[in-house]
Amino acid sequence: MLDTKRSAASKWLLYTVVTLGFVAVVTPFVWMILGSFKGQGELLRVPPTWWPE
Amino acid sequence: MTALTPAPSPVASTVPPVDDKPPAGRRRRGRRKGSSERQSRAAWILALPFMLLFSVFMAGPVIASLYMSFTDIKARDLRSPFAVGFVGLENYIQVFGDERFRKAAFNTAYFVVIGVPLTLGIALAAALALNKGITKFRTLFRVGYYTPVVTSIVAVAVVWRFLLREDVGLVNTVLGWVGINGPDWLGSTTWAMPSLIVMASWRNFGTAMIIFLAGLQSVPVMLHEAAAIDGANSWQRFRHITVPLLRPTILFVTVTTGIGYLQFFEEPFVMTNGGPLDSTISMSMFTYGQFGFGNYGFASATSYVLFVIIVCLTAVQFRFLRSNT
Amino acid sequence: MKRNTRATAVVALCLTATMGLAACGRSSDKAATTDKASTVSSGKATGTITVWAMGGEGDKLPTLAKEFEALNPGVKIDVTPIPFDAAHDKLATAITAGKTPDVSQIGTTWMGEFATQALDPTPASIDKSTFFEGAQKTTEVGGTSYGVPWYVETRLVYYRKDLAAKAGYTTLPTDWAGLKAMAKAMQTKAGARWGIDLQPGGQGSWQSVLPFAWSNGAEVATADQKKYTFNTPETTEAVKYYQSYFTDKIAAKQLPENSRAPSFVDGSVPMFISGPWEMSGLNELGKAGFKDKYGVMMMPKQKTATSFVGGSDLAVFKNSKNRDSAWKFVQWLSDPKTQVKFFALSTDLPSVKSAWTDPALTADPKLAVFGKQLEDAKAPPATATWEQVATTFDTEMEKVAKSGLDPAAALKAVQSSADSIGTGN
Repeated sequence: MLDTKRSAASKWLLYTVVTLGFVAVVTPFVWMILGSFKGQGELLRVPPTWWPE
Repeated sequence: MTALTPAPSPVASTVPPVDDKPPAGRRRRGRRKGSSERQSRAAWILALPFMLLFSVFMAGPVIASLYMSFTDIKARDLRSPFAVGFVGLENYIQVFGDERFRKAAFNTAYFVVIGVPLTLGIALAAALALNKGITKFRTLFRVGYYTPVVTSIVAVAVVWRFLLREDVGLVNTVLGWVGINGPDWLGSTTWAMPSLIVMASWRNFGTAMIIFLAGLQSVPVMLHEAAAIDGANSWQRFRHITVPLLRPTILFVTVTTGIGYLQFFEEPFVMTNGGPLDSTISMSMFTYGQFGFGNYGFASATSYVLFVIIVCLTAVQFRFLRSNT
Repeated sequence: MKRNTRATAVVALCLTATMGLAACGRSSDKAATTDKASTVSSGKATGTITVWAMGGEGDKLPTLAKEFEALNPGVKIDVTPIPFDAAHDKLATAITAGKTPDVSQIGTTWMGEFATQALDPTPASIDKSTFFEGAQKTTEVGGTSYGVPWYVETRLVYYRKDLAAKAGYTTLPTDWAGLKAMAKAMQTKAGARWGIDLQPGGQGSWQSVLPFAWSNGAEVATADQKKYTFNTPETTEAVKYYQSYFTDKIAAKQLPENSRAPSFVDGSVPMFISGPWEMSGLNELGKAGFKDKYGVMMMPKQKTATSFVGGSDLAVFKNSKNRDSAWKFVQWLSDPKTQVKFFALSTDLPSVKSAWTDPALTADPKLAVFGKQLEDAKAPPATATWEQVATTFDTEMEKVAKSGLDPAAALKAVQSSADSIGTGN
């Protein structure tokens, strides 16, 4: 079909961009979920932690 | 479509049927006329619940607020709503004379002019990528891109306010990796609005993406194949086949996103409360504030101004984006 | 045929609409209602009393109400807790619909709006002099008192004792220049990033700025509450003083959200002005022993050392069906002993002066300072339009703090806006 014409390199590029976009879009959501397991003090801590303790 | 019963046309019921049968045919004639009467009566009865709800909860308040916008009614007068002064167009003149409203109107225009193309651009790009380009994990990506739509703005606002913090926010940390010193996004009069636009785009592009995906799938593959054989590259195919066929879809998402963005309220309300220095206050927020102060007449006038603007913009969009096939 | 009928229908509709609009009009007599307070019968309370209370008070009041029920057999107190942010609208709609409870907690800044519409004037049997003057004034609209102050709060300057000592301050400053010098010294000698956390304008900042104006002898409205008086030399001087903290880089123009307590604990911003509720958060965040590392001091004195008084009032509604018993309940809640009990339950400060002699309140030295400040604390006038005017004030203060707008120009803008909005009187 038409897509087989696309080179492997451009396919890789497309996948990278889409994955980066996915990470950017989903990160706030993930942060929110992880934050729901943290205590008030830990949530406001500076510098912030990623995984709840 | 097969006709199950000979549906009597409206004309038939007004024109007396040909009377060539003896009284024995009276029953049939009566049934035909009664049947259409019964159908329209049934239609009215079925429509009645909706019409009642609509007039009480939608039409009623709309008309009431139109009436209020021509008076100087305040919250205190609500128990005697007719004992108020008729002020004609004074509220409307005051609306345009209010400096804060003009700022809110400018902010709203800024938000729509930048936000709508940005949201739809991201949505279209994502839809194109996820339509044919990506074969593996397609569902995962589609779900992931759609999740911001289902989040609650109040919950998301807390997260975003943290992400946009100048000292430890994730955005500035990432920018720091490439050597850029990020500003105080929500505290700066220049950057607060762009931050809100990006956040709104993040939240809303999912819906447009899904609609674009549906629209893309209705573009016949044959056309693309034929064009490819004729030597057209991807960009040309996109411009001359996809976009024209997508026009109705584009019109739909532009109109709905435009209407939604003209009324944007939640993002500035929970993120910046209109600040800093009124750089993010929107027309809806302004109206909300005025209702809060109890200036019902003035606030109603403001909401009608917004209504007229929405109608005008939608009319313009229909004019320019309607399908010309 | 059809076009004619449609045209006539449209014309008829327009005519009816115009007639309807023209028919409405305000009654020309400005009903100058001076509400008269009626008396309360003697004896025990009876029947059911419906009470609305907000926030934490709503949760704690039922415990107290049970005592009242025990003292007045046969009476039932029905407390409905209401979240604070929904409360204002809920009260407004209830008043419009005529479906008010017997008693409600009412925020001090809301009295101006609701009092003349819906509240019963305070009967003479309740002695108004038992309350702190500033708090009592919050119940007065147009000279009549509607309801009683229930609990109060006021603002003091919180400061880190250890960092103050490092900065060379063993005795506390008592005037404007002294406070500013202390904040500056915190930066230069005690390693603080910002000397003091002052709100740079924005929503609610009038609570931070007006105390300085009041301390300089300014008033925000005329005595009869018919006109706002923002544009005065005293207020201008106070705003200039407030602005100097930002221009001299002693206070930050923007601090991250929710950073007040953490910054106080880690010493980066070791001073701020706020109310008694901050203490529990600070003690928890600072962990063991932090309680002794900070103190509170009274507002600095210019002509007076005036702070802001807030809190809530209790009011009985005009159309209450159980008015007498409702007032009896309110009176009981204003009794010094009950006030102390409520303090124990909620940590809300009593509005009754004599309650402060109780050991529960004299034990904590910090609370004693709050008690002293309450003797000189003011609230804005209880006018119906205060919230709207305050918003303009907050916006102008934001420009003063963040963009360096000239205080005189800012106050001129506030005054013209306040004049066009009016006091509603």
